[in-house]
Amino acid sequence: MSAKTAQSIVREKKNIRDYLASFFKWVLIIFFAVYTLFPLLWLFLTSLKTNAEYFDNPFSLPAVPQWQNYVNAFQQANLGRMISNSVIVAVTATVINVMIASMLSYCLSRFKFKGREIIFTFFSVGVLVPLNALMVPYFSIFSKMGLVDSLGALIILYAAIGLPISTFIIRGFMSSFPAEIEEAAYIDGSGFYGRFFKMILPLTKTGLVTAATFEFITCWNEFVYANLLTSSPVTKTIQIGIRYFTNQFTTDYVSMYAAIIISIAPSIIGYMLFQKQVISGLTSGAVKG
Amino acid sequence: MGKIIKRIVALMVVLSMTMAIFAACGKSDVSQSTNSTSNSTTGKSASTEKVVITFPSIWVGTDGKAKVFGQMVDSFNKENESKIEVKIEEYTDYDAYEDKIRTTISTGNAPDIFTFKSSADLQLYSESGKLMDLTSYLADKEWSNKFAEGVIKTAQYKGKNFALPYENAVIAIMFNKKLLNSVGVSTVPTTYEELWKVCDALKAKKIFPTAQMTNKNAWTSMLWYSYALAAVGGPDVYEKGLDDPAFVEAAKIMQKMFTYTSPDALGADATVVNGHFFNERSAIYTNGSWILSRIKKEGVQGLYDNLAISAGLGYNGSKPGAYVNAVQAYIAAAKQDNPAKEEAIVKFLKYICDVDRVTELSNSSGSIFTIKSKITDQTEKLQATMIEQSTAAPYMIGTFESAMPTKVVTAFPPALEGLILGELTPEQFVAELKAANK
Amino acid sequence: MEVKKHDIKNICIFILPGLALFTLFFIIPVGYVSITSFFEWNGITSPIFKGLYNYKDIFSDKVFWRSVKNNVLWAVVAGGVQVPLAMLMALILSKKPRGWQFFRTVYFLPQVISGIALAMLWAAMYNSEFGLINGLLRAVGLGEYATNWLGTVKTAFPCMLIYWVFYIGYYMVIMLADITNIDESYYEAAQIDGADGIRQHIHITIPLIKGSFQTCVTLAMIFGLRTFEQVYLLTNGGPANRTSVLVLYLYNQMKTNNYGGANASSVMLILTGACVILMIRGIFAKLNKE
Repeated sequence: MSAKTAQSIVREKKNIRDYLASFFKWVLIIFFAVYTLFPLLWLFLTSLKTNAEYFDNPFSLPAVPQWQNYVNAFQQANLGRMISNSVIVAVTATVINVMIASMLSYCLSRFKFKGREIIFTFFSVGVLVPLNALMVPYFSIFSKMGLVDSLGALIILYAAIGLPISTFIIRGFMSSFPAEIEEAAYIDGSGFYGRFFKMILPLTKTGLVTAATFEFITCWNEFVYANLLTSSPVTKTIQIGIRYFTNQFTTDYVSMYAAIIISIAPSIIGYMLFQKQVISGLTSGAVKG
Repeated sequence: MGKIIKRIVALMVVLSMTMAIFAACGKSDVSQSTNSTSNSTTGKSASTEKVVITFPSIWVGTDGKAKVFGQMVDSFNKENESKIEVKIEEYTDYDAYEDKIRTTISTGNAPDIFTFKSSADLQLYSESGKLMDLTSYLADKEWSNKFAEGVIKTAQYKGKNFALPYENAVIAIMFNKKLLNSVGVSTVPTTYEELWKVCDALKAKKIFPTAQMTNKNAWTSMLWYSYALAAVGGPDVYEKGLDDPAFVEAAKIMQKMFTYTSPDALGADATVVNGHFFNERSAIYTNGSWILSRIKKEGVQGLYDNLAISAGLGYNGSKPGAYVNAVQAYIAAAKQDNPAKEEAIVKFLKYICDVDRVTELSNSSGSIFTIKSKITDQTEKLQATMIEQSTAAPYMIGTFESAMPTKVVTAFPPALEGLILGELTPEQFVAELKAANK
Repeated sequence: MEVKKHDIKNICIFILPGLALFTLFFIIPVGYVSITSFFEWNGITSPIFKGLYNYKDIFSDKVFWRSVKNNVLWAVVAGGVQVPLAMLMALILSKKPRGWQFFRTVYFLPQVISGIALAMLWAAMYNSEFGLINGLLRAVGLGEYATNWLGTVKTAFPCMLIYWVFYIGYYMVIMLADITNIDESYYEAAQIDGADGIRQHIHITIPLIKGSFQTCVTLAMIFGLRTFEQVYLLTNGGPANRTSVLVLYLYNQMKTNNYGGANASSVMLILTGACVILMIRGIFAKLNKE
């Protein structure tokens, strides 16, 4: 009898604790959701205002939704072309970047050889090179290659400047992969390429996708070099499009915000597609045992 | 296994595609450059082949001058069909444009024609030896007479013109007469002493007398400082550099000015300042003529009609009426090996200096130019007032930004913040500016 | 894995493209930056050798030291607050509460939105006249605390840090990906032992994602040292340089055509960063041993 009540007290205590934990959990989840959704909501509402309304009070609601801001943004700034350029650049650069970074990470994480640590240290330091300071050397490189004003220049540059971060992330995932499994595969007669393509790549898919997500976003949001290395309309990317509504003296904010909303859509879609891969990676990961 | 093969195939496809892209891009570039070299080596073919001039321009997009300037370029191209083509490259973000021009000149890739705004850049780029010398062309009176008196000289470096002054920023002080009337002021103040009284009256009625800013280049507050310098130091205020005591005295005016501003002035950017003035929360404002069209469009109803345009104010007995202005855009061209191209560039530059065309450009944009344009029926009422007042002004001085070296200009906003926060005395404020320029 | 002889060639093939790109876009440009940091150079006319002049110059500039201080503080807050918060949320979402996929996307949104928009929003939020923060304070009767947040010396830098420290999406995604990689069997065993959610996290999840946690801390601190856009767009370093950071400092030097000084600042930034990386690695190596 008494044992029973003791048990139920324990259970009750546990219940209260569970409720409290669940309560705090949801407070946190919702706090972060509100905090991160708010900018988007604000951006969307502001993009439907007139500039006069925006100047009057940045937090007021639009009296009449100005949908033509979107029409303006899309037509005047030629966003369609810019989005397709950005997609080409971001996708190609991401594929190249992740491919090269995973090859490199494979060697850096799975093999012990002289210079390994040096290479990795160099790459880590590479993450903190202030890229803004490299305008002159980068421009020189591409003008010598004859690639100025081409999407190719942006693809090569983005693939390259993302390398340290991608390598950093992918290597992290690859080094946590147990060595015994690879050894076993080696003993089974699996070669260098076989192990890389058949085992390491599929099993560190989440790492690859994570790196790819960041590389894609970096490419999508990069402005300084997009502006520096392109000049004709056919090579301009979306970040230049966003700034179409600004000039030396003034900025047409509401149209700019409309352009930003339009520019966000593809990257959110890209993000969701990538992250879907992480989930399917989870199920394929379950097979690995 | 099949999956892996698929993956590798996909990878190969992507890689070969990118190679193709690079190859294509590379190729087109190579063919272009071979074209231009053949141009310069064989003079004969140069005269028959079309000359292409690249002009990375900021007068595009939402810039007020975009439409008419674009038409100007189009009609030039049409008139010179199959001979010359001016190709406009669009740049809207001004900071990024400056970065690009600096980088291209630095790496020896200066564009055929480009613009810049500061006299510091004028000196630097002139020194670079990469710009076309326009001095001999400007000896042609027919061209140089179109410019306002003496302005060509101001764009000279060691007696040579490596650039043309083109757009002129004319700055005026603007009063909201409605708000002034509401506190019983019917005449616009003409001296700082009167101004402070008006400010007190406004402040008592909970109206911000002015809106100041310190973010980015502290634009409108920098203009107020320029006006203070004009009042204290007179026409030659910049000649002695920062040693002139006027800089300290003007800093004191700024201190006082910031007691008559909205509480959000420190760290405010142009949107805040414009927001206050456009919505009649602040009563006194200063900016260039280009802002008039925005006030008309984005200000509260009737604001434009309530504006009184004024020249600089008098201080301690100095005469009011000075105007602040600055060359806002110099046009320069890259040095050319090909005489045909050089000729084409000069032809284009002359074309855009035509008085009628510039008048149209000015009327459509609210901008004012160094070329003597006419006031026509098309000219905005207040813009015309500004032109009249500035021509009648006893003297003009440049904006602080245009007259000072870039290092001082960059040091101005934080030093101003120090001054307003009480961390710097007016003397230390000027010392800080001097230190930036060592 | 020990290197087998026949793998040497393959390793070279695999390393080569990465190393080539890295050499071209990092080593050579950084070398060029380091060399020119010893010159007086305006970017246009030919450079003049000045030895350590640029370094002496920036070392005697109080704005430089303030920028360094801000950067270090930023890095510490990023590594010490932002990443742990991100881990907390990754742990919570890894248990797949209702709508977790939605939240995962939502948390990442600020990374996708252009920095200009975020800066404009937060400048308006912090504004003393029409900002929402002061509006809220006034609404709940705390109007006396209302201030010009980004224009006040004491509040400017904390405000700069606070607005961004809750944007955790980037690091959360890395750690969440790592957690999803953990084999279910670890948890199954734990469930039999009766370990509940929190204990499972402490004993199983956290030790297993130590690697990605370290990655995130390192990245966050490096981004903290490299931060530029937020500051440039929000305060441009003001008031009176209180929120200045190194990259902004060097950018301003570039803007004033002082390439020598800008490049010396770049070198200092890289050196500071290298120290931070070594420090983090040392700390984690020690932790891993324990």
